[in-house]
Amino acid sequence: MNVSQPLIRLENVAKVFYTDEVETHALAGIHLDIKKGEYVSISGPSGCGKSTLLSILGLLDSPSDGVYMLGEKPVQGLDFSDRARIRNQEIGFIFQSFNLIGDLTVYENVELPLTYRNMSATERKERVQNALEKVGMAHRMRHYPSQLSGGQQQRVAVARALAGKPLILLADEPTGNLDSRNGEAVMELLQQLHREGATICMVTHDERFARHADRTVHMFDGKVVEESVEVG
Amino acid sequence: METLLQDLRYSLRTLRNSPGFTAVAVLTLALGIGANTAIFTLINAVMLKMLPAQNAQELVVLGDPTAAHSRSMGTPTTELFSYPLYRELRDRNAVFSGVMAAGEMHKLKVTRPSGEGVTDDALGALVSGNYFSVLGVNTLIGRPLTDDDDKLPGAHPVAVISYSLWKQKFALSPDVLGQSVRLNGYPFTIIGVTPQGFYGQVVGDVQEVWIPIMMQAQVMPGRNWITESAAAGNHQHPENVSWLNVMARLKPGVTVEAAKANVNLVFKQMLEGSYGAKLTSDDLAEVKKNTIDVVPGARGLSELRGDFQKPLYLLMAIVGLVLLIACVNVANLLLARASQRKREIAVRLALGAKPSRLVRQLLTESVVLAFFGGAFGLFAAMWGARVLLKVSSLDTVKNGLEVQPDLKVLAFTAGICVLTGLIFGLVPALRAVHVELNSTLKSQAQGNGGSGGRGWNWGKLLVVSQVGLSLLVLFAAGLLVRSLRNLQNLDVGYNRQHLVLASIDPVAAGYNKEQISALVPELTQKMARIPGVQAASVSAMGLFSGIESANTVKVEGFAAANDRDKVAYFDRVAPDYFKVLGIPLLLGREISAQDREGAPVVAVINESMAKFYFKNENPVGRKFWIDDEEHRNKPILVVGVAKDARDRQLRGEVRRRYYLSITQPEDDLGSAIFEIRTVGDPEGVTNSVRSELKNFNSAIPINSVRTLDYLVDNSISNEIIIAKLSSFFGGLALLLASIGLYGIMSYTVNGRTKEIGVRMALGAQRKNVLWLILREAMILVVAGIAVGIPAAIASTKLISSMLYGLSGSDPVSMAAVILLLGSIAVVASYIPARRATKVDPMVALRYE
Repeated sequence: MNVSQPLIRLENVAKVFYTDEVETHALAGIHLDIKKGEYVSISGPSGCGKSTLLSILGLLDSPSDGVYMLGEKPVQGLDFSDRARIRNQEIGFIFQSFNLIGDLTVYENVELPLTYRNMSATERKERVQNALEKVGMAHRMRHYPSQLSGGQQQRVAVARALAGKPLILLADEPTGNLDSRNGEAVMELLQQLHREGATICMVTHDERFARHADRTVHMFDGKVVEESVEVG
Repeated sequence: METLLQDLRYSLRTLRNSPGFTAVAVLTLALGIGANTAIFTLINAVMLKMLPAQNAQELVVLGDPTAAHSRSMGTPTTELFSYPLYRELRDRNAVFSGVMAAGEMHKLKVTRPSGEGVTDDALGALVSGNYFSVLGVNTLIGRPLTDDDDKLPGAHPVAVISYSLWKQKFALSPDVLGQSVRLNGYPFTIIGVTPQGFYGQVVGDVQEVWIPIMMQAQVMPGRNWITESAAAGNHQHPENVSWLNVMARLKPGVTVEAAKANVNLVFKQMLEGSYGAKLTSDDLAEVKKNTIDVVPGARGLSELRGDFQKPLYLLMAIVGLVLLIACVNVANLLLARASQRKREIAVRLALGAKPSRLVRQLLTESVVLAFFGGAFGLFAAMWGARVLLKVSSLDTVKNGLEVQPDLKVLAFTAGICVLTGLIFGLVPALRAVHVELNSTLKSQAQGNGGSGGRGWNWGKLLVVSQVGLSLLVLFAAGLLVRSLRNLQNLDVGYNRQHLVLASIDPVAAGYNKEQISALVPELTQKMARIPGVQAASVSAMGLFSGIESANTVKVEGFAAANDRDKVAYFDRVAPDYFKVLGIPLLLGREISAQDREGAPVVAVINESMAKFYFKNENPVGRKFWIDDEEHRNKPILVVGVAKDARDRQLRGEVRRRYYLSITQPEDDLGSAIFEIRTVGDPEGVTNSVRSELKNFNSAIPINSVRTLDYLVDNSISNEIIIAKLSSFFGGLALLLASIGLYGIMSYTVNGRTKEIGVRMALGAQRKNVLWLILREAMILVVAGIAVGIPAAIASTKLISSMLYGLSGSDPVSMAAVILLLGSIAVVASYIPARRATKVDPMVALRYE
């Protein structure tokens, strides 16, 4: 990739929902660049469109208009299969409610995205162990999610996002379901990953956590209204 | 009582509020209960229904109650009775207030004096004068037959007709009394009409005309089975014609056992007395080995009972399994529904309801549901039983069964509804009341029920059991179908196709022995000249005709180890018989025109007889004798050996058989059966055959003109019926099981929408999701198959006697069933699996 090129570029992205012949403009005229190794937070009040934006960034949804470049490729018009492949190989998700699968062990949960690739069992094992060690959960790999605290579950979710070695981590309110102590710990983990070179885009409505990022994008009414760069 | 009514009201309201659930559950139960009620209706009609007689419980049957359509010529039997034997038993016993006898006459021709035909296919009965009084049945109009009508041979040509004949042919006119009709050409006077619903002493038959036994010779010209005078040959002695079914009414206080003891005491005395003196020493020795059975007769006589008892009970077991599968389906629906009603149950418990009270309420709902299913099932059964009867009816004689639901059927349906409701309702009810009160009341979510999600739970265990049960039913059906196929494809030793069998009764038209000898070759030639016919021959017994004859024989150079070794079956055949049928001759020659009366008596024997009596020696030129007084000095010369052929039954060993020349008759020929080999479709030739026979002499009754295929199928009608019905019910089981699998997988997909969304967000392709659900369904199916295989193999021991040419663990049937079950399971789970692939990950992740 050309170093000057951002990892993610959104150009004039819009998202319109149609319900009962009523148009709802969830996003309008979004321009956003995220560079490799950057830690960006998206904040704003409820209903401002930040989760919709994250869904488009995560290829869970498609923009109604505009261009979305991931790497150097436009991805806004890809079919289901290609989007699934990109989600699997190039994007790591961290959800507010962890979204671990209750019937799978910690190990199996982290391994899950890797099972959708043609990857040898040995390599999968190595990656899962590395990811779990990175988040400090290697000692719990045989446990089930229900046997873990919320903070531990979110660490496992981070490990699952990391295991695939994605281009970018997308975190949707990663501390939303955690108490402040566990929330801080998860934020510290993301901070550490960022220091190690991970590109992160995080949605949060909590100003305290937004400040952990290099840059904060403020949204209101489906538009980017302000961008601020954290100093220090 | 009040709480029960409250529960009932609440149940009805709940079911009304969930029309989709109610409809699916009621339909499923209607199929299961309907199938059971339909089969039970047939069991009731065939096995349980009482004769419409007064105090029917006092009636007994002497002999074999299932031998309703048989006749036996030769050594007297004690299953059926000759007239002299009946008369002696009637007059000498001390235990019955009355003993009656009846012998059926098929294809009775009824005409008006003008010659106008009323019917030529009536079922008549020659009955003793006390027939109606012993049964306790009176006439609707006119009078019944009495002892006075049955005293002298040929003296009282009077007849009682059935209500249905009166209605159909005489328009319910009271003037029918005193009217004259001709029965097989002989004039009779109608003296009475039986009440509606009375069809005679044989369950399943529709008797329409009853005449005194003493009129036998008049309606069966050429045969006299009553008096000595008209007897022609040995087998025409009245003592040697066993043709009457005998029923009696017990005197008050006499038990069936006591009656049996008395009857057999009398029977012994008879054999020592004048009755025994009339028998040949061989017959007497044979008859002395027998006893007379006396069994309760409230349910009358029935050949169907003997034929269909085992098949009906087997089908009952099969539909029982189908109902169980239906119950499992509904139980699964209730489990799913219980999860939706978790909060309601929790609220009730929080308000102080006892779990037992809630279980009762939920069970009331189940039983109400079952009764709705039962009501629809009953309607389905009324229609289904008629269809089943039609499917099973290869002979018109079976059409007399009444399959209207009576109190027994209604009680059965009600009982099965209660039982069904408890079976499918118990597990969901018990599970429903085990809720975590605190968490459930706090939770806004509907909660995941008994069946959603990964891992094992009640719902999935029920589906596994359902698959296992389906495998059981399908495997049994598969075995029966393959067994039937084996029978149908069996090499009978000759070409089964393109063969028509035409049976005539020249004796009934007044032909004597000499005339028949002349008639047979002439008619054979006429048959052979019919367009489309390749060749024709004739025999006395035909093929698969239901007629069989055997003799004890003494064979030159053979020492019999026991009585069984002496028995050989026989037929009498015309020249070219083997050639026409295509039975290869292994040695010597076949019966030819030179083997006529006066020439040395010759026989062709079959391979089995040759091997048994002559081992490795050449039997041609050797002699054997029929081992009785009359034939001991009349050697039979073996002139040929024919390859074994199956000409009476498909199952079992080929019997030792010898074939005599039809033109060297020892006795009168009972009937002549033409074997007609056709060029093409034999069905197309049957009408020409009938016309030819009628043109030749319309007075000669034509017993039947059938293709061999029909006769063979008729001989295995039980196997055909069971294979058809078990396949049908197997299909029903499969349908219900696939609905169950579909339901559980749909529920699983619903319960796992969020998980599927997560997987998709993490990059799962549609095929990954599809396989995820299909694999889970397959695990259930494989588990069900694993459970079902040993159960199926173990239970096929019950039907092993019905199988032919395969074992109860037949791997081909098992493989086919597994493949079928697997394929249907894939289809049933594909729909929910495909729906899973349509889950929008974004929507699913917001789902919580």
